[in-house]
Amino acid sequence: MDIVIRGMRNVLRNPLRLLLVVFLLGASLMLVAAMVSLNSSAQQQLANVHQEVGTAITINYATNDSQGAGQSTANAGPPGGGQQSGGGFFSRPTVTPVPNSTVAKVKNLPGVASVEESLRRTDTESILQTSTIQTPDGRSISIPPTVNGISTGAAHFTLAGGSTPTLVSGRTFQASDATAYVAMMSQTLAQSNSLTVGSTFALKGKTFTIIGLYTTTDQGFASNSLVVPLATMQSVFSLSGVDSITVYAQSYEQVDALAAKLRNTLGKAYDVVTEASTYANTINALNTAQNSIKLALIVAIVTATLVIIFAVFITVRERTIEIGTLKAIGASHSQVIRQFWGEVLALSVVAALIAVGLLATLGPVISNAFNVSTPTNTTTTPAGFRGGPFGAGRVLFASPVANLNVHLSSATLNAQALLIIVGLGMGLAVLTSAIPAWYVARIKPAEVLRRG
Amino acid sequence: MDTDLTPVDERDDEESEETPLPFQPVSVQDGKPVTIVAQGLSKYFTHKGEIIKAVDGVSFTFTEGQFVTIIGPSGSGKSTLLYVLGGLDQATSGELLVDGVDVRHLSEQQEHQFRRAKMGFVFQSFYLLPTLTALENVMLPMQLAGGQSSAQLRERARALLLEAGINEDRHSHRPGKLSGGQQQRVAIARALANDPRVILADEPTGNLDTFNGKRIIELLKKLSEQGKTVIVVTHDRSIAREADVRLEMEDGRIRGTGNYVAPTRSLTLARKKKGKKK
Repeated sequence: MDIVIRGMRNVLRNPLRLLLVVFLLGASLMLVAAMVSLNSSAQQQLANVHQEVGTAITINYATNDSQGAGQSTANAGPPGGGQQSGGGFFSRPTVTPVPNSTVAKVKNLPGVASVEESLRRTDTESILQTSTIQTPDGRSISIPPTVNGISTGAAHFTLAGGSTPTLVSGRTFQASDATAYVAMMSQTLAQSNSLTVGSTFALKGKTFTIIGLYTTTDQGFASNSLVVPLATMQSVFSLSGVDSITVYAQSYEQVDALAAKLRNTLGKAYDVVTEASTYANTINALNTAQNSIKLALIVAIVTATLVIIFAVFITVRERTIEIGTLKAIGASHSQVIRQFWGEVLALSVVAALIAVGLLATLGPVISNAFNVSTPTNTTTTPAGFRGGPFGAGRVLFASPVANLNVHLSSATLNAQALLIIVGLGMGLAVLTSAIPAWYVARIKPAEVLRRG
Repeated sequence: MDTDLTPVDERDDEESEETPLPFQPVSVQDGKPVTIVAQGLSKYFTHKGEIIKAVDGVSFTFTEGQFVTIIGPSGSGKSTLLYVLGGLDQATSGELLVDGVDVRHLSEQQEHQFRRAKMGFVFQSFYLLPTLTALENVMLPMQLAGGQSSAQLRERARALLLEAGINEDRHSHRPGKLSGGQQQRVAIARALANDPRVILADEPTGNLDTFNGKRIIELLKKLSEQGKTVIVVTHDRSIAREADVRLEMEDGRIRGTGNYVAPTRSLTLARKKKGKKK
């Protein structure tokens, strides 16, 4: 019989209370481990969504949406000015809703990491051979090539329909190409016109040299496209602005603040859209789940702490006489305290074992209760997230709302959960060991024995 | 005694390193070593600003083998005096030597050592640990003292229990399964565990019937005959009459001819009374 065995017997002296305490404590420890695990999963999912969403903010002219390719040019006074040109089925206005002055203003705003301009026109006068499509009335018409202007340093770029170009031969633009008559062309379009890297072709009366060929994920408009430097395109199309600009914030956390700043600076003439708003459902669902998890985590920690404090306090309080007796027969403070520490430790160990068992059996059930359910929207899920020679692409014409299929991983018994349960159990034991230490030190044997 | 009392002039409760007990040579009186010397011993409490003199300047000397009773009405200070003698309470003033140890100047750690080595306590309510068997209860003070193997502890506890009149078949019983008289016998065996010089008993028969009470007193007397100084606090005058030395307390003082009761005189008186009875 030693101090440990004595402690164990004391723990077992009230079996009903012991059961109640260890089950409550065990359940709380299990919940803490489960919540930490779920919180970690939610955090990871949010980070994934943030990564998906990126730091982009798209700016379009409010009354001349860039999706309206081919729409009437009669819209009132786009600020970019410029002359009308072209016509027919694939005609596109020569107006540039976002003038260069606005681009310059945006670039100078604090918090802006980079700005990428987007300019796209169809060349209805082109002599290039392109593919054809059937009109609703049965006519067969050629798709005019789409000319895309990009900044030479652009890291994100997609073609019409969100298709991501992948360079298959030649090279991309360099800084020295900013105003040069060079182009990258869809491999399909190049093959239709027997062109290769180094070949030349005419565009708006200028001779362009092909420096690279790319393939696309879309076989429609994107396969009839070519890409030229933005400044060159503005020059040959006589434009002094761009269709839209994409602003990149320095971090995801700064996106909303920067978007607000942009709205404030540009006024109501422009739509400032963040990708976060596009994924609002998913982000909100994850945030709500995370808040619930955090609340449950706090409740579980508080409950575990209260349970063990209550148990230890009751244990020492009801044994005042015993402490007095032990002191009277010669036990030192530390000898008495060690006995209680043994008991607290035993409680924590039993509770931790119960927590492990509960987590192993109830973990998936609890996880389901906190899981996030967001419908997968395949029609609006943006394309163009693959890496490529143009960098990670980004959808230009995202639908208003999109959902990512997120799912919190189940809280199961793993090394982390085990560590949390054991660590917290022992931590609480250490924390509450102060109670017997304090209580034993202040007990005067004469007083308690006299009270009897 | 009102429990809502604040001891006066009590020293700090700081734990210190274990050090040898301060020892003074033990004097001899009437051919017997002196075990307890109290000189002007006082214990005061404050209650709502008022000083209560629970023990007020008592002096006495007890020697080895004396059976001493402290008798007096409730609140007379007899239990407080017992706790002061046992080092469970600190005296407010005065001198106290127990088996050569200056009790008033012990550190807290030394106090534990002192109680462990020099004192054996017997209480009215027994205060046995309910989760331990009779044998384990007796082993406990020896375990706290350390230095002996488990087998040695067990053997000594067994012998003490037998000496106290507890049959072997009861050694593995927990207190709850023992009668009051048996529990008090176990408590006496526990008090003897570390072979103390002094046994302090606070109303040891208070929770027992007359028959068992008498047997307990007989047991305690037997211990005094074996050389222990046994001090019993009691209300029972019949027990007091059994004593070699009798202190009658009232309002914290020893009533009668001064504060000092000469042990030899009391012993003589007690023996005379016994002789008359016969």
